[in-house]
Amino acid sequence: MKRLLEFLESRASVTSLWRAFADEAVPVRGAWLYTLGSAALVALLVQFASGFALALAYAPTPDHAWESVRAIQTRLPAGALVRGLHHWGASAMVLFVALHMARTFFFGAYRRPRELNWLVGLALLLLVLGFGFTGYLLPWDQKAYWATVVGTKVPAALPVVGAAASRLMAGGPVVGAATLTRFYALHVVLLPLLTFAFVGVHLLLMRKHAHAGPTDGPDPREPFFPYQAARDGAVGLTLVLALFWLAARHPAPLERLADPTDTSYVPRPEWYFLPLFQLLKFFKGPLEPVGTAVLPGVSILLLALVPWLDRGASRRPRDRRLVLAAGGAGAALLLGLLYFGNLDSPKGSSSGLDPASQPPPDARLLGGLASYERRGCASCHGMDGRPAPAPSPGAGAAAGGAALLPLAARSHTLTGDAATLHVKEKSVKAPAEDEDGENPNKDIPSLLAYVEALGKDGARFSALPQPIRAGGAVIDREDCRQCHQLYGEGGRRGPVLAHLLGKRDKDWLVAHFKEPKKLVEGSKMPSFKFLSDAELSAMSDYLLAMP
Amino acid sequence: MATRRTFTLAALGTAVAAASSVSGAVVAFVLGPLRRRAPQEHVLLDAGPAAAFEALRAGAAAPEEILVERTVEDGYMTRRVKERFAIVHDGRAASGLAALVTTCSHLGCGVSWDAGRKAFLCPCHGGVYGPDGAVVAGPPPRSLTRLPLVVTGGRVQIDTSALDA
Repeated sequence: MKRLLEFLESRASVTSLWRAFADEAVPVRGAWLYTLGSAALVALLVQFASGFALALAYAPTPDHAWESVRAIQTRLPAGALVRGLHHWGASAMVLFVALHMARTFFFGAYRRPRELNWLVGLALLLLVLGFGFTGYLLPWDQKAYWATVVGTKVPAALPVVGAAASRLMAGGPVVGAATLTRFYALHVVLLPLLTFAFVGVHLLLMRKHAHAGPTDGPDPREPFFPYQAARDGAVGLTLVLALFWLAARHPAPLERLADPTDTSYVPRPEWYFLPLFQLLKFFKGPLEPVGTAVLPGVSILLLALVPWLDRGASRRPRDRRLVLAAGGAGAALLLGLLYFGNLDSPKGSSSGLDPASQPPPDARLLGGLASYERRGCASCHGMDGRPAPAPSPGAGAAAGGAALLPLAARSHTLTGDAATLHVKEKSVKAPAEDEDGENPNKDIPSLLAYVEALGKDGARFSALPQPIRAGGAVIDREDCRQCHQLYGEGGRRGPVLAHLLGKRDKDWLVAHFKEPKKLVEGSKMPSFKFLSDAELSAMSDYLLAMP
Repeated sequence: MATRRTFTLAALGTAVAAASSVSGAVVAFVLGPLRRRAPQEHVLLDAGPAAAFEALRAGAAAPEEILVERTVEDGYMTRRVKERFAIVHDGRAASGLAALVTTCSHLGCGVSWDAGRKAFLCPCHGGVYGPDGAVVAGPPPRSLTRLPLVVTGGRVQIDTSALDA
């Protein structure tokens, strides 16, 4: 060990670098306030790690972005956790960068010779907001789409350069495929590179000029390691634990697929853009650029100029009343806008996965589930393919109670005819013959498909809302696939059953099931009046929930 | 007369030239979307049978929102998208009708007709437009974009040549 360290020291000065890093004298007073920057750094590392993981499974095209995010959220192992970390980590970044900046402002630590590092910090704040803005679009859900429509239009009202700036951001006249690739490239290539470069410069400059320390009075110092390192570590660890807790308890939201024709959607941005969004409501007509560009631009410029506007010798708060009052007023304005923006926001659906974005499984599987229940398969195999651990002797079917789960995973020990025969013979309750004299066993293919799917994501089926389960079963039983494609399979006489949400509503669908010809001229679809209203309503629910 | 100074200048110049040609190519690529496509010649979109809009033509009905399929250039692909228009009464047009693009002139959110308030409302920043698409209240700087309509062969058709300009 000692020799390894000696080797590293002689070849790479590792030990001396560590000593220089660890022995830096840092202020004792206000030490906990100095952990805010480290917390931002921890959040950045969380973002980098979780972002890398997300990029592995994400596809930046309008046709696949939402699907791929939904797969991350619902199907991939640890996907919801990683996306939750990234989602909450983004808020943590903004929060800690802002708090760190407020602390620096209050301490007047931007004063000579640290002006340059204040500017680097400001650039980092803008980079973080850039991450937020570009990252937001990537899931391509309703919120993503509409927030970006507004965001790319914000510069459009500027004189002369407005239209061009807006076009460059969107990559074309409207938000679409080119916007998504542009934002993706910025989010995963350019912004991370710039951020790491600026963070490096920020830390080097911080060490070059050392900490400014408290604003007045004695300034005792202690080595960074282990005292401040322990505080930074404690705060960083708490932050990571908090992010895990948030990711687990409040999953990152995913709304419905972006729908440019849906004018009923009320878009609201993420909290850190809410003040800007609220500001845009106050400036009308020709004054619009005041809200979109002048005020934000002037605020950023003022922040940048702070080290040159406040140049006195003393950093004591009582000698900097004007500066602190101005800063306080700015912060109060921002918080006020945030508060009122939040009041105006529609309630509900603020976190968690929008139920409408959970895709129902193929109707065939739900038909299979219904016949699994109807035929009493559960009495031997258990509700979800796992037989009860110790079947009572009275159950009478202990011998046949094979666990379906490993069976399905072993990819059918029983296949084809043998499986069909098994179902016919062992069904506790053979289905009664249909009134129309239809084959009473026509449900068996669906049943077998269901059993096979049980092995893969069985748990999902029992968690489905009842109308979705019932609706899928009816669609399977009535064999809508004869004429319609569902999940890419089925006849071509009728239109494909997909993406109905936003195009049709439930009333229309129910009325259409009853009298197709009344609503669609020249329709060849037969009437389904004979189904109960509950069944028709459930079918509509199922269809509207489909991707 | 090769001196250290000339070598340094030459080396620096070469490096700058190489770097700027690479950046030039990248910048040209990034600025690509600024180039506008030639506006399409009259593209007529079918909005339905003229009979369906009789009451509206007479000015006796509220604006009607319709969804029409249209082919658009979307970045690297061409695809069919649904687009929402509002068909409104227009006394001055020969057809008696006009089509409004339901995109708010403020920041591009989608407006929709509110039968109660008899106005088009924007859900984002509270813009309000009258039945003819003119701004009534809120931040929008311009009225809703109006597209000409023609009625031919008993069908209402929207002239979309002004879109995507």
